[in-house]
Amino acid sequence: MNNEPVQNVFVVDDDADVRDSLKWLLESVGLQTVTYDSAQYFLESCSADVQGCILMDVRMPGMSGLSAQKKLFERGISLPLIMISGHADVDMAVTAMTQGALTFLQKPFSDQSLIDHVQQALLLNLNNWKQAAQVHDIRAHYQSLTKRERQVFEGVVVGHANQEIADLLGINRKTVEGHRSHMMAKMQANSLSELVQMSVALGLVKSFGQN
Amino acid sequence: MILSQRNLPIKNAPAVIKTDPVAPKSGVGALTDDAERNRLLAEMAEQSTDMISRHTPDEWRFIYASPAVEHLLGFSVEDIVGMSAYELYHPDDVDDFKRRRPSVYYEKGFYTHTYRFRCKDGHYTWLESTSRSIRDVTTGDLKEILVVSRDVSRRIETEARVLQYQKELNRASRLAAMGEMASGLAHELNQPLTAIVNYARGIERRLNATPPPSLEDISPILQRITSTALRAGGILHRMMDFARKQEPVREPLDLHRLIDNLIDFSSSSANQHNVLLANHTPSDLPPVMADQVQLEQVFLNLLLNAIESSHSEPDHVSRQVWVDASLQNHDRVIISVIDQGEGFSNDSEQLFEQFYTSKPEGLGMGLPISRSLVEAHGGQLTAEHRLEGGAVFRVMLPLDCS
Repeated sequence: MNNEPVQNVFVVDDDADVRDSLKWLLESVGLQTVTYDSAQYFLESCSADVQGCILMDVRMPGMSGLSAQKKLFERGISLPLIMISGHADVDMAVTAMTQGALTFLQKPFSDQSLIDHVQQALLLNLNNWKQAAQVHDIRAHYQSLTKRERQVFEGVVVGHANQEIADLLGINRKTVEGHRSHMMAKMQANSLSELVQMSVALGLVKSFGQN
Repeated sequence: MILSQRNLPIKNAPAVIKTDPVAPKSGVGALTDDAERNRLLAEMAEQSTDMISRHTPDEWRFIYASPAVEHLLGFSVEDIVGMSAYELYHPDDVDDFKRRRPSVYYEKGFYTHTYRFRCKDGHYTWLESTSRSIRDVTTGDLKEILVVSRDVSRRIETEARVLQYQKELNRASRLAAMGEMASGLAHELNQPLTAIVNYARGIERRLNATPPPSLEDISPILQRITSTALRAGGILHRMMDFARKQEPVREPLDLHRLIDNLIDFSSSSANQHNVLLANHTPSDLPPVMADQVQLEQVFLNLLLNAIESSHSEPDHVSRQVWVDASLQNHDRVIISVIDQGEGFSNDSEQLFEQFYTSKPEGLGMGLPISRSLVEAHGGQLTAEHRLEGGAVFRVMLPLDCS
């Protein structure tokens, strides 16, 4: 598995005081913070592989927090998002949450509550990242399999015994056992149940019912 | 003299008055006779609901008063003849009257004056009098003063009530505008308060860490706390200026700065409606003599209207509202509030009618009040539909309103 990524807190707020003070506060607990004065500017400079979480004001001139949230989703950027607002605006809060925001904080908020939410968001992002990295590894392993090994993989995870696989593929049982041991080693699977989980992560699950 | 109380029954109207003066040619001789004419005039004076009186030139003693005096003041004719008008003037009006008196004596024209006069029962009533001096034909000496007076209390009261009502409306609309801004204000104040909390807690957390930060690390943040707190104070001050109930005070005003402040003030409303505000007025405009609060009210009203009519959803392109100004003939300035909103399809004058509104929750008072405030400054407020879409509201103000 790769080394853990560097995570940033992306602060998006049009008010210079709010923006700078958030950076000052978050850096006091060692969180790396980058600030943006508009949603447009943030979207322009945000690439799909950035890691961290977003802290964004819901009301801004030009592009609002809510439309920026939609644009991020369209671009496949799924960083955890904390919306902040100066208003107890129920409609906006509901919209933000249904669009997938992690939480909605009303200004002024306690610094502890903000830091807790940010830490939680960063943890969530880290878990998301780990999961994605794991799937990435499994896929790489799967792609290193030969055609025969893949056929054996698929046979094993649907619950066939070696002899059944041998009959299905029209090859010798001994040969199947050889492919199976190579396949298990390449996939780094220690047990049949681990291999089944990997097949789920690879999205091979649906092929079970269809076959 | 616009309104008079003609509610007295005309008693014993002389028969001659009923006679058509043109038709019976037989009476021509009698009607052209001076003595007869004077007799008829005297008779009409006796019947008039207006009080006709004659006064001595020095102390303004009543030489004569027509019977209307009884209805107007409660005095009988016998009571009042011999009394000086000075005894009956309201003390506050005496000086005013004395100051104006020369015009009655020395100028040929009639002199009209509105003042309070004491009735027999002690209360004061408003009279409007037209006076004329009568001089000796040969010597030119002042002989007496002839006065026609009528009761204008009801008119004065109505005017005072209208004025009071207007003041209340002004205040009400100011309060309504404040109500609309209250939620905006909460947002405005939340920003600096949030920032101050963040700065302060950031300092605290650093002080608890090892190694603690140096003074140089913290001092710029302390300065930010101060300036942010002052900014919050500024927001409150502006709010209080709007709320203050005060009489119009004319002072030289910098329109560019006034518009800047209002744009600042409306920014949260503009955010809510996805509108961009801009001040294009030149910063070197000469000052106008005007009441700051009233002009702020006018322009705030125009700005908020423009913002509301330029509303678009947050994910759409922002529309713009901007203010421009130009000098005309070196003696007046024209300030335009321009929007890219819905505009209006009907006659622009309709917008200034009371209780006319296009907003579901509008009172229809903003524009008529704004216009009356602008007119009180000797200016004009007009509206035009823009061909490119949207509307432009123009305020013309003379540089010196006095």
